[in-house]
Amino acid sequence: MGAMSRRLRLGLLTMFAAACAITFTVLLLYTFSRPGLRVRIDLSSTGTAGLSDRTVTALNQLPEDSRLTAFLFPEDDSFRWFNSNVYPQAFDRITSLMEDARVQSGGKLQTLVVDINSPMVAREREINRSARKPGEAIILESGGHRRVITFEDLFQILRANVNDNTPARIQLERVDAALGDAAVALASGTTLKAGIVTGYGQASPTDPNGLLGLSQLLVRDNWEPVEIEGPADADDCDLLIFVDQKQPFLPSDLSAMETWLAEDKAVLVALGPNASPAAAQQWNQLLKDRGTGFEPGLLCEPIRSANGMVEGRSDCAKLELNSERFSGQHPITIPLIEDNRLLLVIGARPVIFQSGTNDFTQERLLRTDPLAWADSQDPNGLVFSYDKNEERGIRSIAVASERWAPGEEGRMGRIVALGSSASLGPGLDFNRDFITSSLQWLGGDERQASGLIGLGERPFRPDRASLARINNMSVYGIPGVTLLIGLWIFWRRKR
Amino acid sequence: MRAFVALWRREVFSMMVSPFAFVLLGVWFLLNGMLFVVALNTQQVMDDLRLLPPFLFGSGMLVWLLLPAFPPLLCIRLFAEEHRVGTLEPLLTAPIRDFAVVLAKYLAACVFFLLFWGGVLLLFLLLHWHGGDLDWARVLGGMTGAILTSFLFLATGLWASSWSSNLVLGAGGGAALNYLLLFVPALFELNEGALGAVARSMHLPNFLDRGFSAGLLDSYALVYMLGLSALFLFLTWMRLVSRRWVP
Repeated sequence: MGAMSRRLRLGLLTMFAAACAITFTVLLLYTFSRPGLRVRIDLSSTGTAGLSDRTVTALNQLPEDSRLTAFLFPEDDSFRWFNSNVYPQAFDRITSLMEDARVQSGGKLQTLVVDINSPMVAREREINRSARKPGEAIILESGGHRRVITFEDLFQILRANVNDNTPARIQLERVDAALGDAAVALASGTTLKAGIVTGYGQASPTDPNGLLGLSQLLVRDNWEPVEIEGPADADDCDLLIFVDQKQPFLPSDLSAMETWLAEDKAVLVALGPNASPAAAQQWNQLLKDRGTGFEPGLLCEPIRSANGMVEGRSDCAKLELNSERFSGQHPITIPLIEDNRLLLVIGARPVIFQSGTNDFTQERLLRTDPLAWADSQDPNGLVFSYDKNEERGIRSIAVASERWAPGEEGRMGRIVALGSSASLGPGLDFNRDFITSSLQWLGGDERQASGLIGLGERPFRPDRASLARINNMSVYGIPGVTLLIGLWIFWRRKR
Repeated sequence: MRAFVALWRREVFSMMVSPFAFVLLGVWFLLNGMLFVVALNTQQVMDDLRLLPPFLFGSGMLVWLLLPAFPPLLCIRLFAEEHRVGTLEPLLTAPIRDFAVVLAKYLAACVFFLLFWGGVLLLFLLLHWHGGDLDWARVLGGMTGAILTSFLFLATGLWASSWSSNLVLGAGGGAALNYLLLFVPALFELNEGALGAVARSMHLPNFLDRGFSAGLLDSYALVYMLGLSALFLFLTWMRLVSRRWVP
């Protein structure tokens, strides 16, 4: 009994000591995981294996609840053709900098890397939670706001050449700079305010069938959407958005709008075919100096089918735009071309160029097919077919205008005139990339190409003999010699 | 101290003259050589040798399959076999502290395991001698991480070895523990809240992939590996001490 009791006591003592050791280890790890005690040493000769001081400083200024999520999905097949190493290199760089961001942010940043090997449930949860769209690589969220960094923003890629089977390759990267920019933007807490005008028969930004989608998109891109009656209420806004307009402006709002434009503030105006003709006329006057305006009519294109070109169907007013129809010269559409995006514009009126003044430059962002026409109202309504009163030809669907040089207050007077209101309402999902890119440009935040650095690639091109020697030594030489030593030892010990 | 050094030297010597250890070493070199050749012959690595260290030391099969299995195999002879052949009792009654016994055996295993990594380093040197422009910060960083991980796995193997005279149980238990250390955090890494945070702070392959193999030394990863190694050595010592009380 005494021996049993002693054994029990000693056993309990052992277990207690083990529990103490485990507790001590957990406390030790907890202590060393604290931001102040955690250091990272960059062993690379260039000092670029980790984040730059600028990015670290910006990350440290973020509030406690900040979250950085990387989505490492190889979504563009062309980056995998001919054994391209675009994705391995890109993901390697992103993951190491994400980890560095977590460590260097002083514990304020919760980082998460989601990739194709992540459990499907967790992967879907993160995608849904962050409302991630294809092409988005990193999402930084802080204080209810977020910055989205697309894969194209991070890497400058030379695309694969199918003629000579050359794989795509990363020329330059700016992961560190992009993270820094995003952190600076969020840490500064400067959210741009977008006034959505609703006083002239426009849809509401809270209506799911109206402009709720646009409103959510604005929030996602770090804008604060505000519903306003008219331009006269837009004092503290940075951008005014007009989606269709059923009546012309009242004099007070017209005057406010003239002042707004004179101050070179940003405007996104989308007038569809159903907008009030008087309102369209008013806009033509307002935008005359800017060199753009609206024409009446409904843009239609013949539909290509097995039986040839088909007209006379309502589908003719659904304009499918591929990258050939985007401007290759403008910051709004260049990313769409690079991403090979498609847009579907449903119901659009022509946007035109007016004479304008020499202070502003205009660019046609989206255009129709050369066989398009602007369908005018016939006595029997829209017929969706070309008639002699109409004219075939390339028409503009969206035009951007801005100052050649910054104005007095440094503003560029940026305007996007879009001939479709549905693209910001029910058809937003088909044009999300274009609208996002437009909003970024209007907010003065078009894709930055700053901070690009080389990856420091180290290609290895051995001759066949060298490669065979390496292979043979690795698989046969070193293991063989080791096993022979083992055999010799065995033989010696036997003797 | 002299007894400790003598025991350490005896352990190192006994490994150096063990055919089993060299067979283990040979198989390790063979498997690593094959992994190395497979990785090297991919177009991605040929286009950029900087991807080789993360493949070998980070997310590759070396870490997920080989590394957890080999250290426990080396450790089975340290306690389990001594127990099986009956030489453990004389050792524990010798004029040397129990913890010195544990430490001497562990350090001997660590030193011998450096030979394992020496062979892998030789592969990189081979590449260098044949004109490969290696990013040595990544190679040495990755190797440092892998060595520390193997030291941790040796400590868990030693602890598993101290539990019984059954060699299969010793090696299997150690390997199972190592796989748990690798896979359990990976399973819960994406969880929300405290569970996810704890899993991420214990995710060994992440330390290797996103830190060491990228040429970044992280103080927490170092403390994690060394701290857990120390914990398992302490637990091994406790196990030895308790054998006196509860054989």
